[in-house]
Amino acid sequence: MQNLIPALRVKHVTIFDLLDQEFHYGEFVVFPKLAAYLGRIAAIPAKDAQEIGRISELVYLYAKIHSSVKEGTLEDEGFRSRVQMPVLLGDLFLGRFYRTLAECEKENCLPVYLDFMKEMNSRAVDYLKTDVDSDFGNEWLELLARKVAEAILVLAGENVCDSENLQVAAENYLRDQWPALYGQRISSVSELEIALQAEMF
Amino acid sequence: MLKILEIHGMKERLREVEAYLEQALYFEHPEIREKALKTLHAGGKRVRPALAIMTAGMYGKEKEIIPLAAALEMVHMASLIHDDVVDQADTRRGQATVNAEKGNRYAVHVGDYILMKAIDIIRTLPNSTRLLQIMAELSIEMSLGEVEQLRSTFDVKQTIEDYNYRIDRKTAILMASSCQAAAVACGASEEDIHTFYQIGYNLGMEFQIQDDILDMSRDSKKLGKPAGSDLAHGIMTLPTILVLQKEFAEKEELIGYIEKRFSGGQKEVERAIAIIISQGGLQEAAIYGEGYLAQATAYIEQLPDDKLKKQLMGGVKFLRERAF
Repeated sequence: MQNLIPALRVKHVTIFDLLDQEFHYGEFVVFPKLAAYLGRIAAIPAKDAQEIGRISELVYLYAKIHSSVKEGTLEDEGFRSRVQMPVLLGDLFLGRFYRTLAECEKENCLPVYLDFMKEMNSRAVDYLKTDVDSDFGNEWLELLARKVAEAILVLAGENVCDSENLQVAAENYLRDQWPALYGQRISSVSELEIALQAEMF
Repeated sequence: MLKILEIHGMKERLREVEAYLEQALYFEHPEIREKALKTLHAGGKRVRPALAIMTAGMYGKEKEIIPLAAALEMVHMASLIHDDVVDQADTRRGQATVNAEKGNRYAVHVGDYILMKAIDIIRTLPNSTRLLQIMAELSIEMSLGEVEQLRSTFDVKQTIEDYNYRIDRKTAILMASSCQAAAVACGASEEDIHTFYQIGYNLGMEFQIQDDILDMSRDSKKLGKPAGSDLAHGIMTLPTILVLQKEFAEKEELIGYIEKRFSGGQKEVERAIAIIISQGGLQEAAIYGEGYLAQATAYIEQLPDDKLKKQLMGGVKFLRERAF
């Protein structure tokens, strides 16, 4: 999970300095933990599960940040941190997702994540075409959890474990763990580092 | 139209790219399809597909490169839709932008969908892992350049290095990546891949410098946007940065307009541009840009294929004579 920290930096600052939105501890650990849990069920090497966790976390941050873009005009106070930076930093996380996927040699999982993006963006447009402020809540979180299970299955080989069971396990894990994990508000990289270290010990 | 289109066979190949794009953008989702096709039909210079086709020409693979050329244009389209949100542009190429019609978030998701489809094309091509890495680096660097541009608006202390950092990421890398990706897809040697990257990069740097000069020197009608709009938005481009490095009588006046964010309106923008022009900002920027053209020319000279050399020199000539 520490591996994620460099991805939060943007030249001399961090995403916490540039965005006007709340982050909580659980958001940085839930997908790595989910991938580790599913990886154990599917009996894939721990390193592969860790990499899927890191890749999925970058997808999560991309989706969260782009979903947070607000309406408004250039003259509005906070336009930069609520509109401009979320657009650009979402793109940045998307690029970092592709880079990490290639670095970890997990290109065989790419179709799974592209399918997530297709679904998420289609659904978002469906919601937004009637109401620019509409919020489709945690729906895409569950979708991403199912995709983490699919990615694990790609690595495990389809015959190793039951695809539907693993997806159900992913959804249940997210539902059970998310409220507890969500927890502490994080507003800097150092706060996140301290929280991660505290959990390790 | 661009001189690049006069290259033998280029118009025909670009028509094939258009046909490919028509199909690739015919998405299942009706609203996203409508916005994507509308963006496509609004037109564009198609510089990136043209660069990819020219590069592939050296390997006799102009036809095989069409899917990649189309995917590069889709990446560009997606980035323009996102740029319009960032800049709050109401129109592009005479048409209402997606954000103006449907809102910011809607536009962001439409852009994301198009980008996802571009990657979906790229993953099926030969050498897809390397191509994916190129696209990842492109996306990262372009975002970093835009973030830096936003963070540095109305900052009169910017240096030429700051400017280079921004335009390198804003424009040059996309052109460089178009050439590089095409060379990779054609199975070129590492040396050729590097040469093509450098050609695209140097042409891209000059292209952006020219854009920045034209932003101050052409009238609004020809530009399709108000003259000096970058300066009005606080974006310090090369002519302004070069002039601000000098000492002259109106320097404080110019700095005052910028630091007060042109609170007096368009009149102040026009006065600032007049000062920059009178101090030789445009000419000096053009000389600076010539350096990149010279570098591009030197790399083009390294290519073994005389026909391609001639074609690329046509691109250099176009940039030298460009007036819009």
